[in-house]
Amino acid sequence: MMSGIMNKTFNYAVDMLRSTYGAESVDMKTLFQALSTFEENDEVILKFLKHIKTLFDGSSLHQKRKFLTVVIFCSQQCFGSDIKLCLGGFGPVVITYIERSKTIWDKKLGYLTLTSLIESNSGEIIYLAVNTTLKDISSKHSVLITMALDVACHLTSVDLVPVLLPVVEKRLTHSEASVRSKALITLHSMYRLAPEFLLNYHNHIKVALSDRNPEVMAASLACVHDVVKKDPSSHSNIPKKLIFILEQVVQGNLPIAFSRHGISAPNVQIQILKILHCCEIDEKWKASLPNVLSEMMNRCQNNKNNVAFAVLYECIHTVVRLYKPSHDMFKSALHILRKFLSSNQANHLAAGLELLTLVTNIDISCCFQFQNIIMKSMEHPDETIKKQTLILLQALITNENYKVICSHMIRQLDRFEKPFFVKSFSEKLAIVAEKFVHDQGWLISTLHSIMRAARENVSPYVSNRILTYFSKASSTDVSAELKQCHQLLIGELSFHHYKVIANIIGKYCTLEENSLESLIDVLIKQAHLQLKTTVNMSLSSRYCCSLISSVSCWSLCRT
Amino acid sequence: MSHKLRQIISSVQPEGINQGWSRKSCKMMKFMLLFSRQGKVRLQKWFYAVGDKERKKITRELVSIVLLRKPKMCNFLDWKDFKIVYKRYASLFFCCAVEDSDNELLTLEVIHRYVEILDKYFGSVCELDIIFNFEKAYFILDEFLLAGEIQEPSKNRVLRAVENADALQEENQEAEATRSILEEFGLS
Repeated sequence: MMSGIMNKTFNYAVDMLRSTYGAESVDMKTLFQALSTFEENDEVILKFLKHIKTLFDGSSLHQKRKFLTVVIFCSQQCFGSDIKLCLGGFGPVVITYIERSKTIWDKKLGYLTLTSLIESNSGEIIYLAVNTTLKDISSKHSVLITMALDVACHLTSVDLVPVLLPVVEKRLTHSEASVRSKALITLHSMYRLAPEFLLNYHNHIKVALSDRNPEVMAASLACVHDVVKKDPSSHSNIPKKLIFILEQVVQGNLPIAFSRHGISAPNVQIQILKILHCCEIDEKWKASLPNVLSEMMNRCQNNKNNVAFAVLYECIHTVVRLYKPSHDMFKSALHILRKFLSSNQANHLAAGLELLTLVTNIDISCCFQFQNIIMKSMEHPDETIKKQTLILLQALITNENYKVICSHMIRQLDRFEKPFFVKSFSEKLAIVAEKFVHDQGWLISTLHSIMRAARENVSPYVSNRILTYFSKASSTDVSAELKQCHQLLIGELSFHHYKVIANIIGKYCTLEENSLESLIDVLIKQAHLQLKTTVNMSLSSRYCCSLISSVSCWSLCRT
Repeated sequence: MSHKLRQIISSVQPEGINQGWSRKSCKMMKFMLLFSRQGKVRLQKWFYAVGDKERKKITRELVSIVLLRKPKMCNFLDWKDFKIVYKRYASLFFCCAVEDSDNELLTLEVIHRYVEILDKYFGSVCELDIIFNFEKAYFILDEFLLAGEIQEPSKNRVLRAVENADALQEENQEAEATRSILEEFGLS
């Protein structure tokens, strides 16, 4: 039952949809305000949509446009399944609208409604829309073709690839560059779904890569990337071609319309470098790359715009992967890395730390010149930067400094609150610490420290590893460990930690009576607390079981 | 079938027909969201197949995470297996999700380019323009981000494509308004 206000708003909204006059913007404003009143009320929205459906056929073109805008709005809102079903019913109506539209605007609106319905519904609408889309892709008007190709990208499914493929392939040779590039992108989305149907795909890409128009060439790069990633060995001539294109782009041979803030086609430059990462390394093309990379770095160095930093980021990535630390390119890359790390923008610092981690994995000595910057970033207020620094510290661990760095990382972990990050990082830290398994005592106490720092969000991996190492430890280590547990129980610990300690005491109690009694007291207090507060009964019951087993072991020891 | 049972069955999302757009496909962009400072989503574009419930969940989580970020913080953050790149323009947050291996600085540039084009088209664009003309915002987005990949159109082609369609729409609106007035007076 609708309330009085809802009823009034509903009737007002329906009347507005029926009205013919009035500036569209004013109508839509009030209409959307009305719709937002309905937002939490699924039944009202459903009734409203059903009303629109009944009004649709008999309404004028102007009204139909309003209805379609409402349908797009509703399909974007992720309502319940009843409304989704109702929206799905609009499919045939919208397709008829598209077929009967006489203007480009109406067709565009119709197609947008269709793609919104497909995204939210993805049912039979796809199959109903195929014929209309095919007709428009085969039309003579280039604007219509590009519109229909946009839709074809959304429509593509494994069943429809054989149907759409021949029509789309024909458009690869159209006279307009925008049509050729969109056809290529559509072909690419089909390739991702069903590569077995696309027999001439590699030829099409080769032709597109050599296309005169930069737009088509740029569209082909994403296709080349996928193809090279899949099988680097069978595309050994691609790097040479790409480096040639890169040279032309960097030297500014493209029309001025493709430049962004003084950098010529930055997206193309970055894409080409990414593709080169996937290619098989050959000394011939590797030798021709330094000149181009130096040119790129020189042009971007003095440019303070974000796009220049984006290109430099990719350059450094490429250099670090392809060249040894002794190479001149590597040294220039480090020089530019300093620019990132000393920038006052947090984005550049974060990107620089990522690159530094990459560099450190290759040559740890490169990191020493940036020590001050690393120390500063550890205290940075931004969590992303702190996280990136922690990952970098992980890369810096050696046999000499592992104790210092691990303790520092655990101290940093204590400051994070995001559960997802704390869980994953506690696991990573544990894996890193395990590399130094020769130092058992240090390892187990480090794992305890990780559990303490991570608190409730600790990864179960850490607690399992403590118990595993404990079971393999010698008797002297066990008694030392039990003493440590005693120390730990003085402070506040997380529930998971109490569980681990209860397990340890249960299995390995060899302490004297008095100290064990105080330990058990603390654990029993925790049990009471958990039973009162924890919703997860299985956790609390497991805790109590381990506690009982520890008490029974102790009483066995006494007797 | 009871209402509750229907709800349970409908909550088990059937695999969409667009199965190929899986999370593991290496598209550059996974999705783009525009939302206000109050957390109201103004525009959303998904480049991979995902059910409604998951969309709502992702949107809700991301909105709350991004809104908590302070102004001088870095525009990148890691979230599950995506990298999120966001930027605030006046009262709107533009938020994109990209692959781990993608260039975040380039994504920031893509967002900026979209805002520049919107600004040129609407003339000093504000949130209200996006709210009441969201279909035009989608048209513009389609011109330079298709199937999750950046297209490299020349600067003015995007605007020309939308403006041509606009000109045709205005002509038609005037013609229709005139016709309907004439019809009312019985003069058609």
